[in-house]
Amino acid sequence: MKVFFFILIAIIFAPLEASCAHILLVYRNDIKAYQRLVNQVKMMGKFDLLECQLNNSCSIKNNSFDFIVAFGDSAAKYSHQFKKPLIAFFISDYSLAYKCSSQRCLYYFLFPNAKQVLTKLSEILPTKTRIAILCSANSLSWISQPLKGFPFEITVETISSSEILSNLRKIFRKNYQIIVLAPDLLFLQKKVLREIIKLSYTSKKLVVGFSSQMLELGLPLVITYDYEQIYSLIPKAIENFEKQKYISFPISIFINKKVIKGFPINFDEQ
Amino acid sequence: MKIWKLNKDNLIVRLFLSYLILLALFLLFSLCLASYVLHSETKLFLINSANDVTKLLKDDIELFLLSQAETYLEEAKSILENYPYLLGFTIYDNKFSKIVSHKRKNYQEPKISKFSNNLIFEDPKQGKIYSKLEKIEINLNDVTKQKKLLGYFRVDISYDYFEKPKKHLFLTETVAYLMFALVAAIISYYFSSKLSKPINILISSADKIKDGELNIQIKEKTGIREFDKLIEAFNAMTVALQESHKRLKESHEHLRIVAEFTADWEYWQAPDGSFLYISPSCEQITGYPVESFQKDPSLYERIIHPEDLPTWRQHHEEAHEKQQSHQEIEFRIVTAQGKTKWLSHVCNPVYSNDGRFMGIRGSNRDITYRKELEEHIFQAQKMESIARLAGGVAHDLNNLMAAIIGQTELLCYSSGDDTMECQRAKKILNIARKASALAEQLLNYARGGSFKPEKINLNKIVEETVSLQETSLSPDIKLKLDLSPDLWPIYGDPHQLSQVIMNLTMNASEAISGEGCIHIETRNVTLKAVLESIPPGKYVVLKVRDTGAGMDKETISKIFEPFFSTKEFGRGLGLAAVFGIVKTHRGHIRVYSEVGKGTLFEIFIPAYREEDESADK
Repeated sequence: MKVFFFILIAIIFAPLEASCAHILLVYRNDIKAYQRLVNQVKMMGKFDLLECQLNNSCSIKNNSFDFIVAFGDSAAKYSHQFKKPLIAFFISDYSLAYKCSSQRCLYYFLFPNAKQVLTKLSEILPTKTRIAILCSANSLSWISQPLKGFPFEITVETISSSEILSNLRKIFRKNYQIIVLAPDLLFLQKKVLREIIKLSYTSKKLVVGFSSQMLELGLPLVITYDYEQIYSLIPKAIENFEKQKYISFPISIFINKKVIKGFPINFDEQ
Repeated sequence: MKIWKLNKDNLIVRLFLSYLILLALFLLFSLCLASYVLHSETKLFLINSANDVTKLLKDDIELFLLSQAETYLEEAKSILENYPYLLGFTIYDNKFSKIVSHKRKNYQEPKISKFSNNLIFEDPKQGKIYSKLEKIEINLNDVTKQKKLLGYFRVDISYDYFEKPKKHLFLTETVAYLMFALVAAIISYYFSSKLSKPINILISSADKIKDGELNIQIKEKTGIREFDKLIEAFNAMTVALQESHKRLKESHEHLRIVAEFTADWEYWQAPDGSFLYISPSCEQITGYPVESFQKDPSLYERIIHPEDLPTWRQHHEEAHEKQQSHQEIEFRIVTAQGKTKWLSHVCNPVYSNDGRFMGIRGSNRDITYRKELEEHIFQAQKMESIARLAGGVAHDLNNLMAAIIGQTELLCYSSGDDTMECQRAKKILNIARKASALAEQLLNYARGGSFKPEKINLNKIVEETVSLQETSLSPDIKLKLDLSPDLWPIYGDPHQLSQVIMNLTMNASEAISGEGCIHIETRNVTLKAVLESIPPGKYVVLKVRDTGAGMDKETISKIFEPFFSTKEFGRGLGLAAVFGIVKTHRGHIRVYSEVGKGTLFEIFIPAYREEDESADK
C-alpha cells in the first residue's frame, strides 16, 4: 500500500516536476523586441523563470536553473560564464558560436548566413550570375561554410573601414552583376549605406541587403528572416531546445518592385 | 538761437558742439555701416544657410529620386522641421515636373511664372523669401564624367528669419549707442565745464595783467594735474613779471631822471629825420614845446641863427649821411621869445645790436651864460689893462703937470702979475691945471683916486648929489627918486660915490633928447647864489634908469673904456671913472640897454661890515 501511494504521488507530481524547468532569461531591458519575447515566454507559463536584465541589476547567486535563454550578443556573452545549456537568439557576432562554454549551445543568428542567402538567391536568379559578397574582416566569419554548389560565379570582396567609399566605388566598377552585403555594422553606417545605394542605382548593379530596413532605405533586394514569424517561433524553439530539438527560421526575399525593373537582370517571376 | 549766438565762442560750447558733431557723424557712419553690414551679413548668412540646407537635402532627395524610398523624403521633411528658416522644398523630375512639395504650415508656395535660381522676392504677406534651385545629377562614369540628370529641387528660405534678429540687434545697439552717447555727452559737458573753468580763470587773470594788475595770484585748485601745474607756472610767471616790471620801471625811472633832469637838450633823431626822443629841457632852451619838433622836425633847422646855419648844415650832413662822429660845434639859435642863445652841439650816430643805423643821438647845451661870462672876463681884462695904462700915463702926466704948474707960477711971480708974461703964464697954468684934473680923472679910473671910506648911507649921498644937479638938468627931464627907507649902510668914499651918481645922472640926461625921465632907485639885495660873476652876499643896489636913446651891444661893450664917447665933445672918462670907483668899492656894475628904449645901470656895493672897516684901519 505504501508503495502504491508512493507511486501515485510520483505519478501525480512527476509531470509537474518535469513541466516546470528553471530558465534563466538574460536580455537587455531597453530593447522592446526582447521585452516582447520575454513576455511571450512568460505567457507560456511552462517555465520557472529567472530574469537577468543586463542594463539593470543582475545578480545570479545560484546555478539552480536548467538552461539559459539569451537575447542578443551581450546576453550570450554574459551567459557563457554559467556553463549551462544555452539557447541564444538574435546573435549577430558569428564568432560567438566558437566560444560556447557548455556542452550544449544553440545560436539563432540575427541574419541568415551566406549559404542561406545564396540558396535563396539561387531560387530567383539565373545561373552564372556574377556575384560578389561584400564583407569586412569582422563579418568574414559570416561565410563560415564553403560556398560551393551554387550556380553562380561567387567572389568574396573584403573591405576595410579606411577609405571605404573609394574602395566601394572600385568594387562597383568591377564586372559583378549582384553584390551581396554581409551582415556588418559597417554597411549599416548611414554614409556607407547611402553610397552603396547610390552606386547600386548608378552602376545598375543589384545589391542584396541583409535587413528588411534596407529595403525601406532604397535597396532593391533584401534577403533575411521574417521577424514577425520569428517572434512566434521563439517560444517553440525554447520548448524544442528543452526537448533537444531544433527548428529553423524561415527566410524571405523582399523586393522593391518599384525600382527592381530598372536593373538589367532577369528574375524568376515566381 | 540767441543763447547759441551768445555762447558760440565759449570753450564748453565749442567742445560740446565738436563732440556732438563727431557723435552725429559717427552715428551716421555707424548707421550706414551697420545697414550695409546688416544687409551683407544677412545675405551671406542666408546664402550660407541655403547652401547648408540644400546640401543636407540634396543627399536625401538624390536617394529619394534614385530609390523612390519614402524614408529619404521623410528625412528631408525632418530637416524642414529642424531648420526653422526653411519654409519648404519642392522636388522636380528631370523634366521639371513637380514630384513632391513639402512646405511649412501656413506657408504658401509663391506663384512664380518662370523660376530662376537665387531669387529673392517679396511676398506682401510672408515677407521676403529666398529661393534656391538645385540640380541633382549622378555620375554614371567616373572616368568619362558622364552625368545623368535626376531632377531638381527648390528650397524656399525665409529672408526675414535672418534679417529680423539682426534688425532687432541693430535697433538694440542703436538705442544702447544713443544711451551711451547721452551719458557720454553729459560726461563730456561735465569735463568741458571742468576744463573751461581754469581756462576762464587764466583768461580773466591775463586780462587783469593786461590792465596792469601784476600782483595777481590764482589760488584755485582744479584737481587736474596739468591745469594745476599751468596755474603754478602762471603764478610764477606773474611773480617774475612783477620783478621784471619793477626792474623795468626802475630802469625807466633812471632813464627818465637822466633824460628829463638834464639841462641839456637831448634828442634822438631817426634816419628819416623824425625825432624819436626829445628831452623836456628842449622847451627850456628853445622856448618851443617838444611836440613842435616832433610834429615838424624842420623847426630845428629853422631856429638856427642864419649866420651859423652853413656850419650846422655841414655838420648835420656829415653826421646823418656819412654817419661820422663829429667834433663839438657851437652855434646860435633864436628862441621862441626872440632871444639869441649859444648852444654847444655834439652828436653821434647810433646803431642797433645787429649793426643797423638807427639815427643820430644829439645833445645841445645852452652855453649862453658861459659865452657872456667869457665876454665879461675879456672885457674886465681889457678894462684892467687900459686902467693900468691910463694910470701910468696919468701919473706921469700929473708929475709933468706939477712941474709945469710950479714953473708957471714961478714965472708969473718973477715977472709980476700985470705983465704980459704973467698973463700968458696964468693961461698956461690954467691949461696945466685942466690937464692935471684930467690926469686926476684918469687916476680915478685906474686906481679909484684917493679913497677915503667911511660908514655911510647911500640914500643921503644920492639926495645931496641930486639936489646939487637938479638945477643943471633940462626942465624936460623928470628926475624920480625911489630910495629904500631902511637901506643898509655901506663902507665907501662919499666924494667918489657922489661923483658916480653925478656921472651916471649926467650921462642919462645927455642920452635923453627932449622929454624923458631919470629914475634913481636904491634897494637892499641879498644874493644867495652867484649872479653874473657877482658873489653871494648882502648888497646895496643903486639903479639909474633913463628913457633915453639906449645903446647897442657893441656900444655897451665899450662904454667903460677911457676916452670912448659917443658924444661929439665928450672926453670919455665919466663912465671909466664910475667903473674905477665901483671897483675900488669892491662893487659890480651891470648895464641893460635897448636902442630907443633906454638904459639901466645897476651898481652893487657890498653892505657895511665892521670887519671891512677894521681891516682898513
